[in-house]
Amino acid sequence: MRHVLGLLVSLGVVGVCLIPASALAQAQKAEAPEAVAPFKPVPAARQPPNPGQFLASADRNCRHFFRMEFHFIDQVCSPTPEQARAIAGDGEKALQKMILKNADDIFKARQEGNSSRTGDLEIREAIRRDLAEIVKNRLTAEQAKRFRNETQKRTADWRRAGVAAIVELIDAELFLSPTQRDEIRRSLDRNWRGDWCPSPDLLLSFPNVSIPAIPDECVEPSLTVNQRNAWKKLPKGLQSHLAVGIASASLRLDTPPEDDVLREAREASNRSKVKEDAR
Amino acid sequence: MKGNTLAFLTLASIIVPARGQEGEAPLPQGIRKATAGQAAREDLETNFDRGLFGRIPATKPGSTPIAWITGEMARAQLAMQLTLKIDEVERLVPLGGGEKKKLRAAGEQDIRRFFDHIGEVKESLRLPSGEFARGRPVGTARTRLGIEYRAGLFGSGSYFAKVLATIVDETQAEVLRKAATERNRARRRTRALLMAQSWGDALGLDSEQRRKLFDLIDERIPLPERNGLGDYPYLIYQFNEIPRDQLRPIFNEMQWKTLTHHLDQIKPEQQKARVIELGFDLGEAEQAKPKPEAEQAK
Repeated sequence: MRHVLGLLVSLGVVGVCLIPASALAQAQKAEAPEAVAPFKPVPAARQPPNPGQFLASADRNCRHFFRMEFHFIDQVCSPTPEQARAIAGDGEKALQKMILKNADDIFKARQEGNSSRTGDLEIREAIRRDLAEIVKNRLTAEQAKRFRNETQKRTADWRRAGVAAIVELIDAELFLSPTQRDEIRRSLDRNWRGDWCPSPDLLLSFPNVSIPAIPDECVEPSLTVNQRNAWKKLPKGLQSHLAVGIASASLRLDTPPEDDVLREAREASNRSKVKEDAR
Repeated sequence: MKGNTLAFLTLASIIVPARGQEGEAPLPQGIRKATAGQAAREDLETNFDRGLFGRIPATKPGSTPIAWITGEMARAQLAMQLTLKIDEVERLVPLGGGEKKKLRAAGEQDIRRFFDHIGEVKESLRLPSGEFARGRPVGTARTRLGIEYRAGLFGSGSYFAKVLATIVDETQAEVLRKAATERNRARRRTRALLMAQSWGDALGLDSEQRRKLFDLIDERIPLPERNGLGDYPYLIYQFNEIPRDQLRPIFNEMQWKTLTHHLDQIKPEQQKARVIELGFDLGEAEQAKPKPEAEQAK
């Protein structure tokens, strides 16, 4: 009998807990326009999010890009073990700040209802900036020069890949001649903007990405009358964060292994954090 | 007291759902269920179209996309492409008015066939219960149609190509073939550039390593004629087929460790099945592969 009573009590508690959920479902139904009729399960009541919740994923994301860039420096500059340790130590400090910022950015994005934003591209750029500064301070002038040259080449290659991919996107719609392809390639290269192709991965992994919002004057002078009319009607614009995020993730190789120097720097940072917390 | 609390809680559990239904239209249970099912089904079908055709993107950072591209809009875009395709042929070989009409009729038939095909695919995704399927088969069907759509409807195997073949003579056909080959070569180089850049970033390659990776991909991974952007599964399958000893010299130890860890997780047979499922033609790639040394010696 006691068990039966216990069960009934439990049912009652569940019923009471369902009140706000049901009421919310009704309210949502009343507000939703009829034509859309979304079919969404009502989320269970949750604790309000806070930036701390996103620290683990921010840590993972930031370290991924940090290791990528560290390996680039290692390949390009061949630092001595001491230099590598110095870069790893300074880098770890910069990384800690970035992890907090990224967790905060994700938190704010979630508050604004953007559930897809991870800030990958921003992290990558910020890490590249920070490490470039560290390379300048910690390596010899010759090594820093080599790094500068290689980063310039990397940017140029990225741009070349982006331009080629956009020309292909336009060509698929407008059937350009080889001369037109060359002209448009040169025009895009002259007027290049990074947000036209935030990630080459996007163009590689999605079959239906749209043509970026390129100014008409970069393309139209090379087109025939029919092509110009078609160009005007083509949907163009920015790729969504969601698409860019998914593309980056889908092509992302596994996080590179952690070198000994990086592990030492991370562990040292953890130890100093523990000491600070103890104080 | 205990009994009263119990009675209240028990009553609450019964009353609450009833109160929750107050705002709904008083329909019999069966009809309400069917309506909800229909809404869900329409939602899934709409999502299918959206995933296939994409959307008109936002033009300013932070702003929301303007609208989804509907089937009608896609149809108009394809009609426009047909005009441009005929223009392209005319740029390469002279066409008479009657020939252009024939080509247009054939192209229009290709467009109709594509949309009929979409209808058939959607029908095949309908479950016996009448509901629209979910999960991987839907994603695969949509990606495959998306690749077909993006690759263009007037290539080899199309009515357009068949009619064109009856119009041009051998010399003109050679001119058209050369133009197609040149376009395909440009596309293959773009793929190789994108992949070298993407992996170059991921592995921390320097410019020389990226160049070697680009050359390798460009030389060793032929591109099937019919494909569009979004062919990463195909590229990774073909890349994984390249003997490791030919890849190894490009990378340093750490880079190699990261790369092979990634490649080791790819199951070649599964990846091949996936690539075929997505509609990539592996025949051309098989033919273009370098023959084993023993066979070459013969």
